[in-house]
Amino acid sequence: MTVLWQNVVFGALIGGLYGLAAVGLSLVFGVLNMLNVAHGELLMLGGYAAFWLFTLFGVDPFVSILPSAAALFLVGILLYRVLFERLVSAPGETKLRNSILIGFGVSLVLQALALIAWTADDRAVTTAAAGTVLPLGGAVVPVVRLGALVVAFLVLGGVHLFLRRARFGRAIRATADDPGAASLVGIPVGTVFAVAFGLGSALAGVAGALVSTTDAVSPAIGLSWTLKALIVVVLGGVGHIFGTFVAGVLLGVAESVSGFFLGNAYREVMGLVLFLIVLSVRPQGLFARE
Amino acid sequence: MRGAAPLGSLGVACGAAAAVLLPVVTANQALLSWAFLVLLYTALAQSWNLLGGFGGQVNLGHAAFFGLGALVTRMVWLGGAPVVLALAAGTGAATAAGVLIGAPSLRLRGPYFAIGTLAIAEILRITTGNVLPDVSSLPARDLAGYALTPRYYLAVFAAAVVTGGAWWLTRSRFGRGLAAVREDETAAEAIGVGAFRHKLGAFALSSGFAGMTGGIFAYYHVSFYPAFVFSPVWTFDPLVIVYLGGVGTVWGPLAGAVFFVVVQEALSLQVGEPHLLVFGLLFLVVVIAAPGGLVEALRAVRPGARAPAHMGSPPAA
Amino acid sequence: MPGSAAPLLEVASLSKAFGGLLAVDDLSFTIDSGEILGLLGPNGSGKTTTFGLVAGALRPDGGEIRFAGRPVTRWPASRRAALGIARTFQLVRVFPGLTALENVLVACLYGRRRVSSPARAGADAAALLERVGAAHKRNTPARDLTLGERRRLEIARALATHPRLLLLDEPVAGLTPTEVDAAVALFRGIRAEGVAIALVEHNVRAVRALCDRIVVLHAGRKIAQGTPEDVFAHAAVVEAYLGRR
Ligand SMILES: Nc1ncnc2c1ncn2[C@@H]1O[C@H](COP(=O)(O)OP(=O)(O)OP(=O)(O)O)[C@@H](O)[C@H]1O
Ligand SMILES: [Mg+2]
Repeated sequence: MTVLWQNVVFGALIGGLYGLAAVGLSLVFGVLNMLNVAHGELLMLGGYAAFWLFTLFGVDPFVSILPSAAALFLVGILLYRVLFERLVSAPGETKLRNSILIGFGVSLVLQALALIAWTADDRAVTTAAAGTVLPLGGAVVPVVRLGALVVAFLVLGGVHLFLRRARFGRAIRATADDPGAASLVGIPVGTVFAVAFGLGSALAGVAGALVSTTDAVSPAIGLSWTLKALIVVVLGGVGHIFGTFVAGVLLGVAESVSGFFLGNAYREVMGLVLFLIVLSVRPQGLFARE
Repeated sequence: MRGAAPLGSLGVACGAAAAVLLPVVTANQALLSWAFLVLLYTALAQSWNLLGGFGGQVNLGHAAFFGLGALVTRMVWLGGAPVVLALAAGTGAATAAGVLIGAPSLRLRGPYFAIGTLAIAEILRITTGNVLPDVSSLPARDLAGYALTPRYYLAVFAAAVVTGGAWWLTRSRFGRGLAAVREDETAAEAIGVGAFRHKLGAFALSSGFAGMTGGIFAYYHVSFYPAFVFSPVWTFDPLVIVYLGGVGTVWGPLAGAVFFVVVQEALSLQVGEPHLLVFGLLFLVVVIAAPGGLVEALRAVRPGARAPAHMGSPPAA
Repeated sequence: MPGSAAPLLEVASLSKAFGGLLAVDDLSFTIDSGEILGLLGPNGSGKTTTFGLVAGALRPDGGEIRFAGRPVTRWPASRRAALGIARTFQLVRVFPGLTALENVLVACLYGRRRVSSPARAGADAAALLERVGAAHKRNTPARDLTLGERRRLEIARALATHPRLLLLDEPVAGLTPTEVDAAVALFRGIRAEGVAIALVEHNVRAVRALCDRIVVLHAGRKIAQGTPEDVFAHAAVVEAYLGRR
């Protein structure tokens, strides 16, 4: 029983990061109707940023969140302007398809660059707090993972407030609803698109820095993070930040609980099963209102 | 235009004859292996193209079907069945998996299909690695009698059949309907084309042929880790090959496969896998600026030929 | 048993909401074989939505649709097209990467006739392109055609399905007066072959010249119907509901 409980706790902790990774992807998809399948590679870059800042200057990854986010924001803007922006005026299906293809090309290039620059070695950050755990009803909670979950939650809260309250955040939401109407009322739609893409990338940067505190970083980790994020987006539905976060936690828990019952070899299968069920029964996502 | 068709058929006949005669005229195993690889990649890339190029549905998990075909074929074959039966089983398993994942995800518009296919491939890879962690090697009796030539002919067969499938799509009612779905699903439905049925049909073909190709790979390869046949490279390589060669064309995958294998060999001696970077950049250039790929470039230098109608041309920036 | 007197299309109490907005509200009307029905109303009154519901691109929230004696309310669009409902789109939708001829050809291969030989369908398709005056553009990719050409291509593609009912959504918007006259003549010819037409159009000249009957919509509801004379005699209708954009 405690082992099961421990599994639930661990699943929830890792699931928070799934959720954070997914929100960035979902934001870009919701606003631009583009699917950036290089999202996991952006997260990988964020992880490397945190790793090098720690290794070279001893900066704690929780502090590196800020520079990592800023750097990835710029990378996102650059990618958008150079590659994705040309798709904006295409009809929906073409836009989606070509954004997937461009994202795929970007992921190949980023992976190759990371491989050349940093080799295929696994990199890990071990801070002083790494071994510390807190008890929780018979289970143990590593403080670093708990910290990552809390930070993920706070960041998402910040994004939520920004989209609801800030002037520019509202402009983003209006543009997501109807770009034509938004531009008619004077919203600079082009800038909004670029910033949304940058923001989505910055969230990948934050997620990457947090991932580096508990998991290894290597050029190859991108794909599996993209995948987790995509599954979470389908589970949660597009455009609901907390729904996405909860879906991430749910996926994490479902994975580790099924790992507990079926054996660890099968924990990944749960993601696919959940995905297929939601697709067949509730394709708009578990938390969508309509 | 009049002379083009007979000339084209002549070229196809010559190419096919050369492929069939190759093992007869040379005993050079390195050359034969090289040709095997080109044909394998042609078949795999074309199988992706059937749905991705002709049907416009981006499959990001082609490796799932290649891998299932490989795994099932290998198990049935090493279990003692004739290789043809084993290949049929592998093809069938891959087709079934395609229908299983396609039925819910192709019904919907949007990113679901790309996500679903990516998910199934990665999940199969990880799960296979966990459940079957040991390398699969040919037993000694098979190793002693190993001959490259029959493997090579199977690859010729696969490349020919899948390319024939693509050719059929350019001629048949089903292929025309599929093109309409690719261009505009709503408009296609409005003239009586059942979009879901067409996408699912093309996907079944695509995943089945991928499984057959995987089966041939399993018959060819002496030893590999079961998880390897689900590796993302079996999705990414064909995708790159299709676009470099010419997406939605009959000959693009062949042209792309030749180019891909040549460049990969040329760069394989360098450290750090620079071919990944080269192919990634070339892929982006093709998708953004030259959607016809190699086939279109070749056609452009041949005077009097009409450019094919293809998908994915980038909208003006 | 539906006799020959039963209407070709019967729409009963049809409703469709987008979020909180009732785009079509308890709408009923019929169309007989060989009839041209005008569907008029101001912007946003639900005309295009009605077409979407009849053609099967949209699912209604309530109501029934019968076509040729069959209840088609739950049928997908492709099945309705095979039964004889064809449409054009207000925002023209051609197959951009296919040539003009290929656009029409594929409709010959599907639609109501399902010609199985692409060779024979090729001849039919070429004849239809000729009929709408686009024969000289047969090998041009549809994305390179002008708006007027794409409109005509769309009509040729719809005719290629051998429809019994043709839904035309603002088919002459943006065309020159000469082009409008040609289009009116074309629609007359289509009707003369026994094809029923439902026409959404703001161009009063075209409406007067073509329609046997008119249904006027406002905010998704039917507010008037009758012959063109009757309907246009109501100055209020003209002012309020046919107004310019
Ligand atoms: N897909 C949709 N989602 C949300 N609202 C929609 C959708 N389609 C139409 N509407 C709304 O439904 C109402 C009816 O639209 P519809 O396009 O049917 O009007 P219309 O009579 O064709 O107008 P117009 O003359 O401008 O073409 C409008 O308020 C429109 O904004
Ligand atoms: Mg309209």
